[in-house]
Amino acid sequence: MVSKNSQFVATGGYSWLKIESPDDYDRLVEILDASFAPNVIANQLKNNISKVGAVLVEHDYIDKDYSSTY
Amino acid sequence: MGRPYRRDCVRLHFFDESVVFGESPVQLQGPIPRNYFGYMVLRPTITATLGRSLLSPRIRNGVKGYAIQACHKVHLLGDTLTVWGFPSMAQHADIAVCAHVSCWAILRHYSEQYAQHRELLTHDITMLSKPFDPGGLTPSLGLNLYEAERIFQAAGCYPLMIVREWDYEKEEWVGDDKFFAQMLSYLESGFPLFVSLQSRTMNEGHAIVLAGYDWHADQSDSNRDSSHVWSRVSNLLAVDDNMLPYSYVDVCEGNDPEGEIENYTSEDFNAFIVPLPDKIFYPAHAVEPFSLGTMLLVFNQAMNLPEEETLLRRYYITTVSEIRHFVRSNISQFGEVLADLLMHLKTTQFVWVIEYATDEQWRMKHITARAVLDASASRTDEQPMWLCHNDQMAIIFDRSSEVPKGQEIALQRPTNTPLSRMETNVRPVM
Repeated sequence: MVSKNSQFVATGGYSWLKIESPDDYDRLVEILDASFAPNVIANQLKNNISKVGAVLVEHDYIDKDYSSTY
Repeated sequence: MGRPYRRDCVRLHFFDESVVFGESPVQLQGPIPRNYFGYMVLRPTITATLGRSLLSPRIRNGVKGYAIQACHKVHLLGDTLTVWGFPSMAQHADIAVCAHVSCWAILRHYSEQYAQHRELLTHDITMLSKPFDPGGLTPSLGLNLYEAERIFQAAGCYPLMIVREWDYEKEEWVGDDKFFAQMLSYLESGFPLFVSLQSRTMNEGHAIVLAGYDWHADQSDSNRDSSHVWSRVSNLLAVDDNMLPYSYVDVCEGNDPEGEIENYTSEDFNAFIVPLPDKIFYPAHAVEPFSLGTMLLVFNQAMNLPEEETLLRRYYITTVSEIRHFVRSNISQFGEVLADLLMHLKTTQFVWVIEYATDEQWRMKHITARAVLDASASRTDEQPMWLCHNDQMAIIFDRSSEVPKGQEIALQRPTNTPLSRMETNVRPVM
């Protein structure tokens, strides 16, 4: 386990982010490398989706579509 | 050589508050299947990082209406989760353009929804756009409408391109009622549409996928220029690579978009491609005159169709299996005779369904009458109908005879039970 508090748990290749208000998406900036543009993604999520109570971040994910263009 | 990107991505999964994360062993707990909203992959590409995504329209702010969706399986921590939605991604700016991403999204939906379509990856789509290896400049220099058509054809679909007609002398669009009626009929058939548009505010071309629509909440606001139910559509749902999926496209005759998308409305559309399955030979532009001409001239009295001032028509493709499933699920409204007729009807796999309603019935989601047409009929077939019925009587046609003659059958349906509208090709967003 890397870190733990009431809002954020990181364990191995997974991070668990509780979403209690739209601003909680800003914590993606702490979790993700800048090459994923987490600030842009957090803004999109804050302004466009609701009903979400938690986000599970799956790290080191190999995506077949991205890999096909690599 | 392009920028050096890392190989790994991250994937974000969205749940509601009832799902709990267990740390040791790592697991998800709670009512997961009901409360999983899908995922988005983030690419390490610095810009345009939103990769392959499958989000439920239920979590998109303000979205309602009907959306084309497939059930996607997701493997996570030993669980197999499912989510209903439509695929999307931002264009990977180095190697893809909006038209490329739109083709990918439609074909990924097809590979999830229909067993006969194999999965095609982003690079595979690029390779299909030309008869030779296009190398690095395609599609980064853009994909035109004909290359998109070729991609759908090479992927095993039968693409039909519908181009909006521009009058160069009057400098205005003509035949819009027919263009948009066709567009809605294919959308209501459950076929996502590749749409080409020219944004007036941005003065540039763009391609999107149309994957849904919403009806006017206040029916009195809609115009009566046409009896086709296009006049009842308030918004279209777009999958646009510049934003999260299920964005509202305004359907308006004015110049100023009021919805989420600020750069274009349906007025900016100039063509669309519908990737059809095999064996559909009777196009929407043949159904339009049949639904007005033959039906109103020959069967108006027998079917007791609504007066012209209150008449509303919609038509869409579906399968005979879907019709029978609808009958089975709503058996009490059909009654024994009509249910048996539809269960025994010898038809092709794909059929066109035309439904007629009055304004009042439309508000209640009821219909006056329904006709079932052979979707594999020739466009020149003057009588492509298998069956039509209202609440009292059905007329069935023997299409194996030289001149199909109708046989009238009294239905003996339950009294005071209206016939309801069929909306089986798209899923309501709730």
